[in-house]
Amino acid sequence: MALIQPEADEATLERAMVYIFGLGVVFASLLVLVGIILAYHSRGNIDLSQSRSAFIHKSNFFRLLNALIKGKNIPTGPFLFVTLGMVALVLTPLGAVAACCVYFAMTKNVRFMLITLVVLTILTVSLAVH
Amino acid sequence: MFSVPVLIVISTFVGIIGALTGLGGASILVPILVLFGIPMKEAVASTMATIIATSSSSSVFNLTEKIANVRIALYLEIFTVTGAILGATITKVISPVYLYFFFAAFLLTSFMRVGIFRRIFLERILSSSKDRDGVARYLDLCGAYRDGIRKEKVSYRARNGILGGCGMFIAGLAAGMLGIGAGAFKVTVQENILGLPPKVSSSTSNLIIGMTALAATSVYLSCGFLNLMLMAPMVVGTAIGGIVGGRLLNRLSDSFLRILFFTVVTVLIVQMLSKGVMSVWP
Repeated sequence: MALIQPEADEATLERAMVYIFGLGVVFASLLVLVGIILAYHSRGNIDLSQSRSAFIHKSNFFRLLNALIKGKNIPTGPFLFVTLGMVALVLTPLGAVAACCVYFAMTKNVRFMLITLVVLTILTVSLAVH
Repeated sequence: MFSVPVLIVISTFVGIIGALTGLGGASILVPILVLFGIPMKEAVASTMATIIATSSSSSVFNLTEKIANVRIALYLEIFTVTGAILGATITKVISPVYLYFFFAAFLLTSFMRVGIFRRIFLERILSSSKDRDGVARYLDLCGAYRDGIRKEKVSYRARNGILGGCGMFIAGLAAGMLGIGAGAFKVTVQENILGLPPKVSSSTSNLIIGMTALAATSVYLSCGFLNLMLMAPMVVGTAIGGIVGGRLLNRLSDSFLRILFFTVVTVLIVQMLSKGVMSVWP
């Protein structure tokens, strides 16, 4: 298998990752910002809350994702937006690694496809356990 | 208790430092939060999301300017995540008291690149292998970027791929055992063992650190320590800081970045030693 010249041929992958990271972080920050604004609007102040409703507790990330999709046992009001922002933030690097996996599979770069697959598997499993 | 706008400003500053040095920023933010009365576990849990924000936002510019190396990041990530998972697991069995001393000593290796230490240690121990090892050659761990200060193309080839992987495994152990992102360890390994340029080390470390922090998210979700209203301003601040830092990285000289890195590392060494001493003699 011929070695791919990173500089010449990985510009497409780097561009895709730039879009994923850029859109992910902007989208997540906006959701979190909406949560902060709503918290200010509903309370009239923006001090850091120590109330139990400000804490999120799920057995793992995918259970939280599942709860959000079904709309059951999820935070409400400002906390919902902050939770959605956190989910978007977590999915951003995961999406970037998935894009790498697809790219290396499409360019038939078996070595890096396997490396990326291992990374993706470890990350997915780590989000699914606990 | 401090307010949300204050925390956004502090987080922005931490995000800039994190993007410039390759540190996630948790090791700076956690002591600040604890100082303001936030419980330790809550502070650590909430800063995990900010590491992802710094990593993702700074990677936008680091990848655009081709400073971060995706191949090297993916290769090293296998060792880091494995180390982090093992570290988190064995912390339940082994007391972390003496770890602080071990990792402080590990961080001291950052100074091996400075002056006389470079001649004594690096050139004798590591640089004797100037050629790339089998792994670095097999995976073609190399790259090039245009340096904004030197106005020239900088080409580099990673060496000591196996040793670098082992170093990143130890960095992952540090992250898992101490509940930190361990960006300082990662930059040290990439510069000292793999022989990468400072800007490539910082930006590639930033790319890796987001993935490692993501692996810790479920742990903190299941513990119930994640305070959404504490996390929210830090995410916004570090995202802004990461963007600013990412843009600045290629416009600053290597020597300035080194000074900034060594300053932060010195603070971290003192912090770890003091925690170690306080654990042994409370």
